[in-house]
Amino acid sequence: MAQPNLSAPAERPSPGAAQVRPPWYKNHLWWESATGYLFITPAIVYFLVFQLTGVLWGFYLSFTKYNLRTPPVWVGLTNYIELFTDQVKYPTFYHSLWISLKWVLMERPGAIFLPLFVALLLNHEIKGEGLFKTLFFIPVITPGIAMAAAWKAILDPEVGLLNMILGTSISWLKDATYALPTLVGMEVWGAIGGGMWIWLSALKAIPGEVYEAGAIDGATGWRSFWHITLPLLRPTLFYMSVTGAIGSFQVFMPMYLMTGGEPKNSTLTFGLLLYNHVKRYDAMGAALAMAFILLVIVLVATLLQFKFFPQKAD
Amino acid sequence: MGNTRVQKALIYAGLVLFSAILITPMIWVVLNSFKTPSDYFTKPGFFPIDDNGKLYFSFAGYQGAVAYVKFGLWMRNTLIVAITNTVASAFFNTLAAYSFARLRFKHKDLIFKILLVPMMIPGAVTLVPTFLVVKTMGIYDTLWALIIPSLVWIGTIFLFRQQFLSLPKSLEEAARIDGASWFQVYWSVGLPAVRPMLVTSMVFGFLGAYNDFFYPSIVLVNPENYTLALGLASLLKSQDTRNFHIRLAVLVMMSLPLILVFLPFQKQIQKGFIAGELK
Amino acid sequence: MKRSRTLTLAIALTLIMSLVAGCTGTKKEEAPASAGTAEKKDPVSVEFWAYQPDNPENQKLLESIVDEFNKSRTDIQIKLAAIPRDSWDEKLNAAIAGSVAPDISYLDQPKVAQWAQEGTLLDITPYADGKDGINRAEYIEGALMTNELGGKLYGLPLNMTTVALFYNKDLVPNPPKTWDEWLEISKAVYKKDQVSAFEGPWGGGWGAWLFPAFGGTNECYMANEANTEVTFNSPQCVETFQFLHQIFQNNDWDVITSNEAFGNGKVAFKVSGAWDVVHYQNNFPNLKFGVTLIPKNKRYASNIGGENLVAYKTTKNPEAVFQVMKYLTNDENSLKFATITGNFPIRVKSAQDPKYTNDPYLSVFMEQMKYALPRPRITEWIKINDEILGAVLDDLQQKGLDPKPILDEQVKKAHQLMGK
Repeated sequence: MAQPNLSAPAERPSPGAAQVRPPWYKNHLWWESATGYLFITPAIVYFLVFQLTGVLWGFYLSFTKYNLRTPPVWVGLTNYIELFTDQVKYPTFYHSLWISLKWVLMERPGAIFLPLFVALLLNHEIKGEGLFKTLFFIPVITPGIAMAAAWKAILDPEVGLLNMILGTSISWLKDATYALPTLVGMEVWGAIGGGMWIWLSALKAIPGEVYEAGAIDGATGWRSFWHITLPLLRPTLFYMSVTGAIGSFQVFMPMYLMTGGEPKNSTLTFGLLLYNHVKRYDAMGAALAMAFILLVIVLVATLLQFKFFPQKAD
Repeated sequence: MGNTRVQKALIYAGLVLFSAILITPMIWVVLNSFKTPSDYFTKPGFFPIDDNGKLYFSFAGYQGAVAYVKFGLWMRNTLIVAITNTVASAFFNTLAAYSFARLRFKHKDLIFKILLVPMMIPGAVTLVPTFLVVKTMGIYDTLWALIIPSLVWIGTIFLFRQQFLSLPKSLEEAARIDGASWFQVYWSVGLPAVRPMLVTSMVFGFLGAYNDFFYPSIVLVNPENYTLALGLASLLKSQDTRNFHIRLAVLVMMSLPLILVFLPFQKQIQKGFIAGELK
Repeated sequence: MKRSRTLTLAIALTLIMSLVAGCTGTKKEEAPASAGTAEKKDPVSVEFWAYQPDNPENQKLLESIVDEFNKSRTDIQIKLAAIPRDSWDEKLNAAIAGSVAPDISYLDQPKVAQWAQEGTLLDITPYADGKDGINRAEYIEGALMTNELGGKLYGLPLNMTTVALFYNKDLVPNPPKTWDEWLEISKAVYKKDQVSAFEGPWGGGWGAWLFPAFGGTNECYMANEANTEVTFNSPQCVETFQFLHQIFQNNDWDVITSNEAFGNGKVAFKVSGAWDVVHYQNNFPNLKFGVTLIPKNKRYASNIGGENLVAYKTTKNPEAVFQVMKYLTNDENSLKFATITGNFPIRVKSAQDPKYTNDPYLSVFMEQMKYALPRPRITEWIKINDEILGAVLDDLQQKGLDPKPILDEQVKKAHQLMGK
């Protein structure tokens, strides 16, 4: 039975399934790949129409000086070279990359594992599960733009709740030491509710009989979590890790809303610097060059995860 | 079983703690929406308390909100867009995801990785090309401009690909042997098995469409086509301090219905019926 | 298969919804056409983009200006679009790139020169000087000037604004007029962890935007008159930074960064715009405050801001467009736009409205505006403001480092950026 071009060995049909076959079996593989392509056709069309055009448009313009209003002027590699070498024109290029990296390293673990922890707590068939699920849902539905007012009040150095609890008087958002960690805290806060729902959905899809079988083998409590739950959550963890990192590298909204990159550029992420070049400095060409530099960084990070991360439940 | 009891107590304590942390800002918003504008600034605590230290509730913010908002029209637009997007994109995304997870065809993983690439380009620079495509398609300044570009989302395809990958294959193989087509397997075995995640993702999709004002503001001009979030954008971000109470009231009015609407959905996130079917 | 049926139903619902959505799309397009057939000739439609007002009254006021015009004219109709400020720049640029620019719109003052120079804006000089034109003397000269480039007119002013010094009357009975007085009072009011002298602003892009107001009072200017060089390393500017550092000595960071520090009586001074007058009057009934000119060392000064009304080169009906611009900036509407935007009117006559001349606060701003200095007309200025000047403000004012070498370095960078 020749099966060329199969992407993953795990997807070969088990030998048992090969015993009984429908009459159209000789078309089986042909039919399967045709169906496969058919199913992804909407996604491909969408990709070609909305995304590939955008990528090509942007790639071309990253080699130009462009402000969207007047025709672009071809400048070759100038934007890329200047971003890396011209400390006057782009004084915060490396700095903002560093801030973004710090952001990813601080925010990712919290935004992935804190929600998982909460979901595991909730997955104990406890009373009031619905109530807790609803409470955890509240931060998810509230638009971030409007929560800024609440955060400013809670983080106030003089009368804010946080300082009252801690007995301090820290300017959380206006002190270069604390501003970035504070924004991380707000972001993780916002991620708990949504992440918890995703984790819980994944947990609930694990068939109960898997645990029953495990229990017979003596796997309970921590052992059960480590040897049964976690492996089955791996695909979800892989998703959270990859898409989370993609989004996290681009982050700018919390800074845009709360600090504008201040104080002393301590919250000036690469995403915000790029956004400033689009919105404030009228430099679409340079912003696009930044976007493609970011693309390379994120692409490498993503491919590394695809290569080394166990993405399937085995 | 003292051990279990202690364990349960700890679990409850943890859940209560997390709930408290998560809802504190929202409680602040709700309580402050009942303050008079001046108390909002001069008495920065949680509760609306007058000069004599008595609790009160002022509805001035809500009255202002009702006067401001073209609730009916904007809500109708919002619901058309949000519901269409949610349902249609759930179908297209899960279908593609199922294909990527389960069907075998050439260059499958490569295609999937290529589809992921545009996600890595910040929206700040893809906004204009999207706008240009929308304009070329002739749907600029119509609700279609909000619907069509949202029919597929690669992030959701990714999520469901991972969910389908974590399902035991035995289930579908049985259906295949019975002669079911791939679509039938996807529809009656695959989808029901990931139902908790389907509900979650649809809820998030709906919320995304409900709350987004930025993209709609780029492709819409006529106020008749505005969504609620777009119509309220300036008020919600207002620096005009005379309106803070209105702003908080609008926020509550936008958020509370969602909690009520989605209350039933949280029940859907329970033990998937796959467990039942296997027994 | 109950579940499948639910999903089928959902998809059917989608299709119905889509149809409804489609209908709204077409209905919208037909509406103006059917209105047009009632007339003998289709009226000229002028698309006008304004900032979306952030409160109900101003939203209604803006709509009423447009409605009034549309009712009184059969030949021209204004089509208003109110766009959130957050997405304003992106939307306007995208629309120009996609050739669906409006006919007229607001435009931030300092952008007008650049946009005129690159050919985005319509030269309205022939219409302004034509038989149905305007009398230029009716506009405040400084405001009108911000629309001129090379002797041509590219827009009409819509509103203007400036900043002045707010002071707490309980802490400061007699407001300072000079730097010396200001410093003396600052030292006198400072009480550790309770009362600070000056709320700011201090660092970053916002601080850099305001710095020229202080600098100007010491004849420290951001650029030379020809706008060919930046000059913020002049001895006068060095002196200004040293002075501001002395003021800063009388502050506690946690006090001046707490929310509403001035409103709650925790700081004596603050520099801000007229929008804060309304804010403090309405929200802080116990606060007694005054507004005065920014204290001077050598002269009075402040900075200027505001929006202009511009037309785009792509417009098909320049005459009609100009008539709308003229209507929107007449005496009556100039007052309304001042209210809508929270800034000040740009017509000589509307500026004499009692609302501005009799008000103890607003009249100070009117006075301060006479000394307002325009922002440098340098293409890279916003970048210089944010990344070069803004980057060192914290160190100079708060840490009190020696300003001269740092400013020399930053000026060199600014000149490099300008291609010198």
